Amino acid sequence: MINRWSSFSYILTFIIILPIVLVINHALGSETQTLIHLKETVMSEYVTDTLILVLSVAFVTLILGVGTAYLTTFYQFRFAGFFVFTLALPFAIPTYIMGYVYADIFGYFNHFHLFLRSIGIEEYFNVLNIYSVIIIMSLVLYPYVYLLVRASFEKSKSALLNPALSLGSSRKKIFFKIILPLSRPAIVGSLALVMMETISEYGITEYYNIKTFTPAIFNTWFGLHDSKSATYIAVMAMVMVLIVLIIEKYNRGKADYKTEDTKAKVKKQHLKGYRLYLTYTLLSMPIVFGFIIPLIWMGVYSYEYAANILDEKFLGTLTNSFVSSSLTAFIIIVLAFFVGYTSRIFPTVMNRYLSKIISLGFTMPGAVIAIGVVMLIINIDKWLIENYITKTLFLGGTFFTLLFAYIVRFFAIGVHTVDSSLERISIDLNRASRSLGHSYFKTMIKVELPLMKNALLFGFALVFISTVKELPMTLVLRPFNYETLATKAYTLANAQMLHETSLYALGIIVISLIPLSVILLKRHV
Amino acid sequence: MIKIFLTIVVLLISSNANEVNIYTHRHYPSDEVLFKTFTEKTGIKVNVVQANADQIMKRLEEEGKYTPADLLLTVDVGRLYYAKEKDLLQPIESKFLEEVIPFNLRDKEGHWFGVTKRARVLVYNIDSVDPRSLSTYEALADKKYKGSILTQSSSSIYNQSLLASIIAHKGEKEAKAWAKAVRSNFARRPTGSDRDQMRALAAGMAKVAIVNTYYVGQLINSKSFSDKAVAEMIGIYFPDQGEDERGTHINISGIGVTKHAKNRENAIAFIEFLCSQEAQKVFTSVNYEYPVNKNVAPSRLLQSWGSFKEDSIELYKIGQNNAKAVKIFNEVGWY
Repeated sequence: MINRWSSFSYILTFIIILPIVLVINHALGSETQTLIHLKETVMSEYVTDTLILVLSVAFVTLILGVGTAYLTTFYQFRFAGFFVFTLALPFAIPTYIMGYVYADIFGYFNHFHLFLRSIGIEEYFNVLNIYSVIIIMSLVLYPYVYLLVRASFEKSKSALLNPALSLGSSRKKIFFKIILPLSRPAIVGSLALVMMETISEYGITEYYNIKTFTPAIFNTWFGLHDSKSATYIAVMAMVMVLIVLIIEKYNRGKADYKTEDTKAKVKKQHLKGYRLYLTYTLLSMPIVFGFIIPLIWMGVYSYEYAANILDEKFLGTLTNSFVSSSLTAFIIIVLAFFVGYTSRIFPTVMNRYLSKIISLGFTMPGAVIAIGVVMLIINIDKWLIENYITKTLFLGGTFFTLLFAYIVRFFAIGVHTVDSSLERISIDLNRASRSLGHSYFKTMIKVELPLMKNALLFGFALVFISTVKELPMTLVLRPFNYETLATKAYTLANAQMLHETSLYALGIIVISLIPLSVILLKRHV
Repeated sequence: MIKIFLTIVVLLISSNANEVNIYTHRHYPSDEVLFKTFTEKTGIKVNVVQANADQIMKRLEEEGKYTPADLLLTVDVGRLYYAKEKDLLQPIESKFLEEVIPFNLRDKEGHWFGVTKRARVLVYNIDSVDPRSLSTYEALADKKYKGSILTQSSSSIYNQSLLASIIAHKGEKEAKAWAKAVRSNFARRPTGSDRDQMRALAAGMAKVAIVNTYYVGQLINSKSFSDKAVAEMIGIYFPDQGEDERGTHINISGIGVTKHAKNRENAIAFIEFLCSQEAQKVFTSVNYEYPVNKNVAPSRLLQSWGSFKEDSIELYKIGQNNAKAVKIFNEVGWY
């Protein structure tokens, strides 16, 4: 059945994936010579490194994310509110900056080794390896799991926990038998985001020389000058992720994850004694290594120079980042909500898999998407010029191009947050409203929107922060003289101007705090 | 109606300002200074997009004849060669440029011109290495260096160009044997930047590293005390200086006017400015690069490293062999 809702979703999906389709189309009939060369030489290395990195990061973020979400939802202890907030913060630090920070701290003549030598250990620990990358990427990405899973826990806790507890089940049993299975959509959705972002990460894998698919794409495209084979590799990565997602969705089948929100208070367990200290230790680890240490590093470096750089230019850059990120986040969340709602009220096969298709862009390295976006936009421009509507590039090289690229790339985040939350709301509510004569649109605004508000805000924050941090697309697509905090931090880090870098990195954290605090503090959890 | 509105908008945007638009790969403080100086001197506004060269060249290619860019400024001759191959640049004539820039550092037909030179040299740990034991790039293939060489990964375009120069001089077969032998002498799997190689070298992880000279300058003048300490522990060695040897491998940072430049005259003026004595002095003193202008001496720091014989191969030959170099790196497992 094609109706207005579905057709809107189809058109939107089409527009969003068009740049990716253009890039793939470009790859058709790829040069077998290059692929044979790669297969005979480095391909096995690429596959191994990708698998090791993606699976390890998924595993570590799963443990960290679910663990921290569980402890902060179901237990009561002093400073719980503080932990709820700060646990999300590592997400605000760009991965490549974190990579620089730790490479610097562990430098032979720097803090860590100076300390070792002062206590008589002469050994040199080289941190530029895959283990460091796994840890750093996990620290940056676990907040995806933490935030989405925690939102899901919050929803189910009272309705399920209280009856189960009163029936005498142990907490361990409840966790594994009830809470964890019920949160499957949130866990899978957030892990999908983590895996896709890991595959497409470029900065840190390049610096630490980890051969994932993303460097492979660059090596093939720009080193061997074979864009077709490069795109072939990109598609391979995409298909891998797509298969995993579809299997999961299929596997889940008709399972129902809906629970009703009740206002009943959950019996949070008070933590005491060694378990309290253990909890503090566990919760502090990701915060200390993922946020506090990098923050101190930036603080120390930027302290002396802050006054020199805090001028109009800095404010302009800050404004650019803020405007582009909030616009991107707002547009994505509104559209993702429409798409999610459509597949909810018209659950056709096509509609159900639409969200998987639309989020494909997230597995592709930003730079490749950027190329697809350029192809699309320039073709539109050429059409405009050839039809005498405009004389020069009207869209290409403008802020619009950049905004569109952000939307293509980060739509996945919006879709996954919306999906994992919508799946928890019973369709009966919608039907009840409809039977009272309300339109689909009114029902959406009156019934689903209020229930989804928190999830949408989460999605907004995640997209916002991702956009603030975004680098490769911004670099290549930006208009003349346009700088964001991320481009500045990167350029300065490259020029080894650490003091200036850290100030811009601090700027990224500060504006990321805005949406995070709105959500987390307002909910005073 | 929409048509009229769009036309007005376009007219407003495309007012004929006195400007020059640059796509650049270079992200150095020296360049910002020079852009500013150029505007002050000529009144021509400099608009910049700074991004990875390979990707911005793709943007340039897609934009075709509608590109707003007048100039492409990048590092590594391989990219300039490729930009010419892809028909992204146009030839220009300039008596001044032909006079001050040596023949081998610019394109024969005037599609691109070097603006700075960088040498890819050997640096050694002064505690464990006697510089007299060093000689050529080829010597690094010797078994005595087992476990003692540091360099970047093969995705470093500077390593690609070094290998491409060896291919150009000695042929693919010998170049491959060299890459394979050097690879088996690595102290560790290549990671990090040129600076990180020197940091590991100072930490005693290896004896020799292959790096670009301006990174040494950056360490010496670093604000970080630990990087200063690193700089004190390493020495610079210019390889291939013997009488019948070809000289140290040099590469350029270069610039060309885009094929569809709208501000061609301004673009040429800008290139001439970058190669003027004034600008060349900024490059060498702020960014520790060697000047291309024959009449400008390197900065005092660079002079303190000594003068050396340069490999005078015509640089386009290095660009020609770039893809072959990448293939060889893949084949010998120099990741």
